[in-house]
Amino acid sequence: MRLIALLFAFAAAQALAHNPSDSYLGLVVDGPSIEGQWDIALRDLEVVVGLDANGNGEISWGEVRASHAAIASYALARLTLRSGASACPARVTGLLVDEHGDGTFAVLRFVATCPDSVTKLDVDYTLLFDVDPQHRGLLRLEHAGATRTAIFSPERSRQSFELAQPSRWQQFLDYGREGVWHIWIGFDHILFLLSLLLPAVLRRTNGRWEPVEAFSPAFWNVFGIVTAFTVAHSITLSLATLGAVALPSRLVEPAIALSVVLAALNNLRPMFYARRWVVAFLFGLVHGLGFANVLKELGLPQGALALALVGFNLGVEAGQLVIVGAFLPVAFLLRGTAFYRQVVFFGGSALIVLVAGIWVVERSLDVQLAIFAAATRPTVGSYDNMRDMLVIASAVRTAKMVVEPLHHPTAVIYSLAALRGQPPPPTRHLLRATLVTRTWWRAMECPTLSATS
Amino acid sequence: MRTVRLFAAVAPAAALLLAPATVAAPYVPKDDATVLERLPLKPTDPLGRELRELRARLAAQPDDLDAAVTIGRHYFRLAMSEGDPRFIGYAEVALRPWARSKEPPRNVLVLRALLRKYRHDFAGALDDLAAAAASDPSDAEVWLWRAAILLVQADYVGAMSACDPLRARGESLDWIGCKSSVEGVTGGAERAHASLSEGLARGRGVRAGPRLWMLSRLAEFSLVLGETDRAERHFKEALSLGVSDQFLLAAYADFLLDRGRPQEVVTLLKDWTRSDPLLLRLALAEKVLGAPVLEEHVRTLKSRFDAAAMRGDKLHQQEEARFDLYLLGQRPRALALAKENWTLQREPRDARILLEAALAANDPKAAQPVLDWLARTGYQDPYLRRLAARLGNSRP
Repeated sequence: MRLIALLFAFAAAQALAHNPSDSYLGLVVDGPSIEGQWDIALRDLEVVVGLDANGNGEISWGEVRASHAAIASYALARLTLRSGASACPARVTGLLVDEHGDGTFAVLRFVATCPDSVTKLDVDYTLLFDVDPQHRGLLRLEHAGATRTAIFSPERSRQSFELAQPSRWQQFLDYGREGVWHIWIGFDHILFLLSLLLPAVLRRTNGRWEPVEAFSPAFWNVFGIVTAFTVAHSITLSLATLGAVALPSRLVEPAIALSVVLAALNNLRPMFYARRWVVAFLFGLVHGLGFANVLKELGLPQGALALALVGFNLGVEAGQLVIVGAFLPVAFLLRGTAFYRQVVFFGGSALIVLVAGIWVVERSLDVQLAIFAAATRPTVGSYDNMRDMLVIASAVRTAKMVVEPLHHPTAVIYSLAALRGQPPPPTRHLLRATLVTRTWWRAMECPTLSATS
Repeated sequence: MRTVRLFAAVAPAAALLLAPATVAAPYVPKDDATVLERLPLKPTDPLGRELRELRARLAAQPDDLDAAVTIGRHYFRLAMSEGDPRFIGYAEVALRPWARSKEPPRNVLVLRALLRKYRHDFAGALDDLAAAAASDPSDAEVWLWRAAILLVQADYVGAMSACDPLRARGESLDWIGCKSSVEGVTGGAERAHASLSEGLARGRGVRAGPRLWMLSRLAEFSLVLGETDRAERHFKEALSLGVSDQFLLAAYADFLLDRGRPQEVVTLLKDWTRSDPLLLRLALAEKVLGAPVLEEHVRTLKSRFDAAAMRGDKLHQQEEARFDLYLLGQRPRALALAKENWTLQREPRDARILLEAALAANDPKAAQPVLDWLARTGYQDPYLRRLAARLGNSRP
């Protein structure tokens, strides 16, 4: 006994083969709801809940899963979240596992709901303190983009956190930024707008496109279209956000793609030249519904709905104005060139028709995908659905095969010229066209791919 | 020179850390049979069974002091052998009803001192030991612990006087072990080696555990004397006892690293990645060898040190300073850690890392406390003496 003591006493330093018992508690506060993730070491849970059911000294995933309810109720009984004076009851949403520096942890996900938006969060943490006073709860608290940390110990098991409320102005700016961002990465909106703007610097006389003489008609033309589009999407965006109208995105998204096809087709075969603002208005209504879905995904702040709505909408307008501001002067300068009319106007419009056409098919396919999900269950009659699926999939593939050669736009330009019974354009135009369409194509590829996935 | 060579290889390691680390994400295992964790004590383990029975006894009779102290002792030993601080917490809980009273029973005081020492609460541990010695000065364990703590704090006079009461019982191994431990760091390594090897030769019936401890010390004393071949013989004999001991492995790994034999370190430690001190030595060897697994080991160590820092633990500062210096190349941080560590612990290896960090950061002033310590103790280790001389030369 004594020699053992000697052995331990003079052991130069502790063998720290393990980290001490820690749990990692992550809380993300958003309005009245608190999203939680709590990582607790399986070695600790074994002591208090008893996971090793078969007593072989090993903890398997099956044993952890079987103890899900016991783990959840044990843990949540030792964590009290309060917002001011009112409790925020928590509900477990999932059980996973994760490795930390030392050992495997059970990962408990939960959602706590407070009656009101949380301004002061009280956390009462008592996990494991009764069996291991050296246990520590490491908290990571996120709120409004800010993160702070805290440590719970038996001496400090109850802590309060004042949550700074984001200023209204900041919130407004945040949503505005989202609006700008959305219009810039939303290729369908940009293409729609461009399709309507491309003819603005041209004039249709006797079935031919001629450049406009002065800037002012082009400007007012653009002004009218952009205003109509803006007014229209503002109306539906507001109505949808306030819950007055509701259309599922699986209908809205293909409709938006269709609007792009029609707007670009109108440049190739004019159907409604003079009243393009009407087109902008009508389809703008559909685009507004699309914006509303984005805004819903972003999440709307409680009590600041109007603020978010106006901010987002103004952001969309600002983003739009930048695009128009960049397009109009360049288009006006180039309006008299064959390059503008042949390549930008016709070539561009044709390309838009093709790309947006693929979107129409792909986005409609998402509707089919729901059926496909049902069809994968082995039920009688699923064969027909499967066959439909295959037909649509091969249609998409064919469409892509048509678009693929656009890497070599010479073919397209020759075909367009042939269609209109004109001689092919000189080679230098073709070279320029190659550059332009390649750039376009690269830009188009991303949304095409993401719409499929 | 070796130090310089280590630095030359630091840059790539630092670059590794800057590369985006693969962030672990929670997952759902595919198979119910996936084993996620192995428990330190199998339920069939006799110690596990005994602990269960004792806990049941204590639950039935919460005032059963003997049961509580036995449980605490078992957990303390598990903490030492498994290297898992959880068991220290479990031991504390077993003692809690008595530890909270104004005058805890003597055996509770002794055990609480050990728990406090484990957590580096040296002052609290010394208080408990003093109170325990006052009620029964004949308990050798109390004096051994007192000597050990004072040794860590570099109070060699105090440590030697704590060894003295053990002498009253004749030339016991306790007395020899205690005395030679103090002598070994105060310029008397020769004498310490002689008396401890004589003690080892006499105590033929000594069990493997204490034998291993004595051999490790003999190896240490030999190194201090510059007798590397003899040190290696002691290490090898200790390793041949078949008891796996982390202190011995760490000391032998350091020996091999210092002699430029990293491949042997990898062979020795490849299955010890769960232990921070041993993983550190493994990584140091892998760095010299340019092993691809180094990146992963550095990341694991980093996450463990970060977790400790988040808790506010200061148990690993010496190891962390070494990690920062040789694996991350963060010299100022390594020096800060080594300096703070020296205020808490003053053993030869604490001295060494402070000297190395001060040299690397070109800050000889920071090493002044260690230079004073070397002058005061007459500690003979040639390597430390060389480092000190280099620091002395680099002084402006």
